[in-house]
Amino acid sequence: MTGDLRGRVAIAGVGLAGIGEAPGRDYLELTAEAARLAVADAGLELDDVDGLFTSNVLSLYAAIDTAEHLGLTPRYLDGTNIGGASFLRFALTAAAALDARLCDVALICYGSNQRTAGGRLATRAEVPWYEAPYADRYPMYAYALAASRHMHEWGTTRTHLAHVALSARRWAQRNPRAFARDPLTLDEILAARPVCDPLSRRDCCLVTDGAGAVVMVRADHARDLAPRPIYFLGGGAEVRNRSVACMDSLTETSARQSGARAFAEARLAPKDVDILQLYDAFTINVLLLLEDLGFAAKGEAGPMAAEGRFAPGGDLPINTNGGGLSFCHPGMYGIFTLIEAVEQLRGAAGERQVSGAEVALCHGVGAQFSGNATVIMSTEAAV
Amino acid sequence: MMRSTPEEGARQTFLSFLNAGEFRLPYCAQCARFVYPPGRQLPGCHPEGLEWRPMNGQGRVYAATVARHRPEEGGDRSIVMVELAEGPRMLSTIVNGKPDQVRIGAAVSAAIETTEMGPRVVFELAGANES
Repeated sequence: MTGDLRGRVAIAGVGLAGIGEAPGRDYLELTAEAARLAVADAGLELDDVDGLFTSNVLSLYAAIDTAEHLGLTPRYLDGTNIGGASFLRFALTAAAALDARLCDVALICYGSNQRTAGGRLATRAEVPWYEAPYADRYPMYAYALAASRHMHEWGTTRTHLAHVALSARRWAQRNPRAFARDPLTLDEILAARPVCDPLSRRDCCLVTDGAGAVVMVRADHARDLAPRPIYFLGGGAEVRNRSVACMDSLTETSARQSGARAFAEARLAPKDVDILQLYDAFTINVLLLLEDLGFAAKGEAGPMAAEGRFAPGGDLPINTNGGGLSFCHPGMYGIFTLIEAVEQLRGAAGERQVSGAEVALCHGVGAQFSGNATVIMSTEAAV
Repeated sequence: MMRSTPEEGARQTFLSFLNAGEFRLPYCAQCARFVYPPGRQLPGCHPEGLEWRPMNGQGRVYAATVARHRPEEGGDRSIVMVELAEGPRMLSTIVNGKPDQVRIGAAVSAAIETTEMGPRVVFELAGANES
């Protein structure tokens, strides 16, 4: 079963705040700034928001804290936490809630001050009891184990992974808001200090502050509001496991199921997608997701990276803002995939603009391959 | 009406066996499979029929990583996914040899280690140097 919300809802506004370092401000203040910008971008007032979608690893009660901080009394509230993919899943539940008239203006938002508050990944996530005696560098070890298995089964190499990091940096160098824009070579990436083999420091996302917000409304409302609404075409989500020990295979994620649902609802196939925004907490994610979403056969994504196909000028642009590897990664990254897709589809991405981008696919992975969520969106011309 | 049983839960049972020096996992005879992690509901399985069976302790490394740390932080530590001979996969660590020498497919055998946090199952590589 798939949903049938194709073209019925749209993103009318987006906002970014505090990307990189935002000293002296807490996660709610950063979230609020992004929310105000997104609401203004949509031509609305904050008081118009009657659906709120947010979660956070910094606070158990992030959803109600955010409602209070923004002065909202939402008719519809979703605070489900499936890790960094939560915000892509929220696009699905916001679409459904809007279509069912449970709310009229949906605000999806997130913020974190983890860099300036502590300088390292901040999370309240507990490790499952049966893994706690071995867990070291949670959640990274799960991605490292998957990378080791992908290399073993499919011949992926550290050079393939390094090309994912290189591509992200080359996009970031075209994005004035990206946190990491310094020159970086393939050799420097390959020489980086190992953290959790086969992944090195350069295979890992940044630790930054930052906030993002997205405003969604029904399509008819969007056409009245925003000059260039971006339409929801399809979405899918899947949760199968908390621990990677419970995955059927370490080299196949439930992006396969979430992606298939999103494509079915959108009535599109991978060949129809112009740009991808994939949650790259670690370089291996990009390869796994491309394969599971149907853009490459197993083992083919690494060689595609090495051919430069994901980088500026390539035929399959991925993470055009620089991704979690070079743009920003304030603990949970999912919302930034949506925001960059909107900026590209609006033709408002400046030096990094992909010409002729009409259809975008965004995908998030949360916790340890635990939650997967896919969103496909387009310009009005491609609906 | 189904009544709950007064028995201890699967986590506590698993740890109690380890404290007694035994590595056991719940086994469903109907599905012919072991349950890992203990207590997890497998699709279509009826947990009232579970029997705690001893594991033979043999397995192979399914995936491997090394959590890198400076010597003053205790040095590098192995983290592995072991596929047990009986089928389930579990997260664990290799306690002999060098962490960066652990290879996927290597034969390993289980041992029970007591730590400050409680007992845990660890694995040893067959034929590794005791360095």
